[in-house]
Amino acid sequence: MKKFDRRNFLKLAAVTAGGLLLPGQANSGMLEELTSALRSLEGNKEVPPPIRGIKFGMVIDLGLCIGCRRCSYACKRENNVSDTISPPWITVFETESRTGIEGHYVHSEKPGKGTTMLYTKLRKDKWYMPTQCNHCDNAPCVKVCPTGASYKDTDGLVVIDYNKCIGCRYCMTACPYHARRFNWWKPNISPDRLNPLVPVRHLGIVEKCTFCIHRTRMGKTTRCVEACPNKARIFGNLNDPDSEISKLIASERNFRLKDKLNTEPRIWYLTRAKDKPMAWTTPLPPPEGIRGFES
Amino acid sequence: MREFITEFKKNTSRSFYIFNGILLVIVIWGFYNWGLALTEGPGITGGNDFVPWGIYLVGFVFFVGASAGATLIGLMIHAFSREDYEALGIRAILVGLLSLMAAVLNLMMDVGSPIRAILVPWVLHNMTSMLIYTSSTYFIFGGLFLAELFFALKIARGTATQTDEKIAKWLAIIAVPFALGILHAPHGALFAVVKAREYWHTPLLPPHFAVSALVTGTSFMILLALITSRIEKKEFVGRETLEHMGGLLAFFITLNLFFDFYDIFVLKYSEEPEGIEILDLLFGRFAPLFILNFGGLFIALMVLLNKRGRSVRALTFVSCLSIAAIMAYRWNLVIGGQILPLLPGYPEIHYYPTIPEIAMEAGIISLWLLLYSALTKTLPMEGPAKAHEKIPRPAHGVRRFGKGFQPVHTRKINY
Ligand code: SF4
Ligand code: SF4
Repeated sequence: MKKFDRRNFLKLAAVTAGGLLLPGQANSGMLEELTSALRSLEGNKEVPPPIRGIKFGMVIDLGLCIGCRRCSYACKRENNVSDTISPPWITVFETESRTGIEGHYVHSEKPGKGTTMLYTKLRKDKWYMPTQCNHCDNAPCVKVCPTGASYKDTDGLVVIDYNKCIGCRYCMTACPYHARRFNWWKPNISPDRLNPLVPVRHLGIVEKCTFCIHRTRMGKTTRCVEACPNKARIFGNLNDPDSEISKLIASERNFRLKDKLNTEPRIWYLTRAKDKPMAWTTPLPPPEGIRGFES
Repeated sequence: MREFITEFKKNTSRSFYIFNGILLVIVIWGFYNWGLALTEGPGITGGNDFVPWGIYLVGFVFFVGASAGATLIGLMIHAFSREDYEALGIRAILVGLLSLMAAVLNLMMDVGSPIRAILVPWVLHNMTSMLIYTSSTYFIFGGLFLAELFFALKIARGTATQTDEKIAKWLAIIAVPFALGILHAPHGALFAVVKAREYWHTPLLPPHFAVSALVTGTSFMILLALITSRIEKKEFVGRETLEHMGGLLAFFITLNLFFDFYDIFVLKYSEEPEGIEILDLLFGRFAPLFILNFGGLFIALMVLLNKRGRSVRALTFVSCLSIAAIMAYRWNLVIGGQILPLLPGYPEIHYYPTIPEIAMEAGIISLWLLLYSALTKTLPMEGPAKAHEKIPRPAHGVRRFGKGFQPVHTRKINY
């Protein structure tokens, strides 16, 4: 009994408190979070290295987008986005005007009137506008991230190092485009759906569109570009003056979302006035179970 | 040690045990819920991708404010030679220290991976983030408070040398610009630099934060003095000290109202689309809180400016009201700033704190109270000389530079 002095008692109390608070599994999980962060100090090993001399960018042609949501669903599958994440990385809006949901609003007294993400029918007199992470050149999310988990890489991609993110969500409040999603729950992806090339994000960290970093850095295009039935999306190298995207940006009338914020988005939208091909009459269903929508 | 325990037992009433027992239960409840959030997921809170920062951030900003405001007492004692504040000295340091702890705890409960967050700013750091500067200041500020406490206790125990007293004095004085300029204003900047959100993105926010910290800090100290007097059944600070604190509070409230007003005025006048949306929100869904913010501060000011407004009862009311009003302001700012969708086309967004979330916040507040009551019970709270005096000298008289206040007369107050 004598050996049971105060120091021993304190030790025991500390261990019991720690142990009681969390089950063993969670304890080891937390340790792993710590060590993975330390390991990733030498660099993000979960993504292929950037290709030299390339700067990626994307054009979305609103004259061709019909709002069928196929890009959104394909992206979700490709990137192991869990069912617990809603809305998915790509959100498509239905708007009244050609410049859509850009910084200046449709009606000055009622911002964004007539714009919705929950449409279920396609209409010829509307415009459809997908949004996702713009991989801004002057990205506010990168600036505010305390850990350096979010960073701008040399090929223009804004990447999140999942091993460094502490889940403070400062980036989510700073992103002007609602592009980031937080893992409020443990990821829930059925094994047959799992893409081995993309790491699954764990509980309590932030994720967003990666411009399919695991594909584009290997010379392929993004999944959303492939999935679009109308070829409304064009992905390419901005450094190459002969690439399709460079020509489109140079020649067509284009705009970027909230340009006045000087975030320098890497996604350009084209506004063509022409009759739209309405190939599908019913789009894929809108996202469900979005936290914060139900009152 | 044994003597200490017998002394402690002798001095401790049953209500002390009951009160702290209840607090302990709430603390355990809160921490249990934190464990739940870490294992099940932060999804058990009411936060969402549109309002990622919830009640903890409101609590965090509030506690940082209280911590910064509490340094004011040290300034009164040491820079303005107001000895009548000395009875509050050590308590104010404790309030500052514990509030800082509560603020950091709020942050730790908020982040998705608290264990990784420990690496900030030592191992993980991005120097362009405001969070790096705010989180580094906690350590410096915590150290400052601990040093202050160390010397104050030395003085209270009567073992301080003259150098110690000098150090104590200067620590207390530098604590104020540090608290307001380096600790609290950057928290305003934390929000102000977010250009995506019109309600946050104003250079007025850092000074606004500093001023509202002074309002909460002063109210906190008034309440503390009154409640401690009640519990210990003795006049804890004199009538004049209370009047002086009331005057300070009135001044800070006026400043705060000035900031509040111009915030809204500019939004209304310029009629930017986002500004209109914010005003719609403040006059619509958030109207009760908006009224509490403005109306509360206005009523508090009116009561304070009234001759009888500095009575014990009136001061209790006014302090509670201004704390509530500042809480409402923080809520409107933090939650209201996020709840407006950044892109049109989303339905109305809601954020309501859930029971586990409230439990965690209640746990933090209870831990604060628990530690405070335990520490004030075990640490010497007054100087050796003053411990025998019944009433701290009420200060009233002519202010002379370098000499401080000279007591002229004493009035009795009923608590
Ligand atoms: S769109 Fe948002 S998340 Fe993507 S780079 Fe820009 S600020 Fe960051
Ligand atoms: S949530 Fe992660 S990525 Fe976002 S700012 Fe915090 S640490 Fe950086």
